[in-house]
Amino acid sequence: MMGIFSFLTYKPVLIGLHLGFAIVGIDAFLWYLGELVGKSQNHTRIRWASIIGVAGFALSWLFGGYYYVVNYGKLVKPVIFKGTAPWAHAVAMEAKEHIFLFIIPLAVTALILAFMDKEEFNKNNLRRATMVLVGLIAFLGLAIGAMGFIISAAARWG
Amino acid sequence: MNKTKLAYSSSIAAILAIITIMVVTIWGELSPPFKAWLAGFTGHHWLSKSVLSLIVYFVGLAVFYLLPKNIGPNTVRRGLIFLIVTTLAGSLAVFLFFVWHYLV
Repeated sequence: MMGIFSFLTYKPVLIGLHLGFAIVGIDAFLWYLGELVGKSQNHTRIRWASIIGVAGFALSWLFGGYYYVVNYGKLVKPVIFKGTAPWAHAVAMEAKEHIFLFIIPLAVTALILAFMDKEEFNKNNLRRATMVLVGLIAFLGLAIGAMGFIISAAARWG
Repeated sequence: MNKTKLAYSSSIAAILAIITIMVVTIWGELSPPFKAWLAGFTGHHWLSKSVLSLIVYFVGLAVFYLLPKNIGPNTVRRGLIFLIVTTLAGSLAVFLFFVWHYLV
């Protein structure tokens, strides 16, 4: 048990899990978006896409949050501040860590919409608004990923 | 369970959670004592904001679901549009605030 915990909290593993689960979340919401765009009648598939999306983002939050709270502040942040791009922390990291907190409430809302009865969903004319919401979740995930790349690049190459 | 009302309640609860995160984040950067107070709850200000966002969202979801509310044919759609606008505005506000904070 202790061995598994040590492995999961090993810094490169944490970063890999944070990024990997975020990609799962983004891809699942793009899948959900594709089902809506294609006017899919397969509600089981839409529901699975939303469940995988929420689970992906929640796990990304958990692993990324652990890395951020335990390691980032004492190991990465000082390196970025000593380099030529301190804005990578001051702007990109600060925006990333806070905008990330918007994702779970948005993703759970999209999940609830996926579980609405088909007739109720159509009667309330929700397809377009849900498409925009689901696309926005995927876009925010990608934008947060781009900020993660900036932060990582600033720490590695100054 | 009334899933239509749940979808409406989730939209409003998510709006409240996003506004709370935005306000607490900006207020924390402008007021170091407030940021320290936030950090005092869990040991880290970001962890406190994470917990706060979940509390606001899930308590909001329960409260708006239980409150009497007539859900018309456009109520949920309007809630979603308001949520989308709040998300875009909140993301932009947080990003631009940190750009401004870095430059001044």
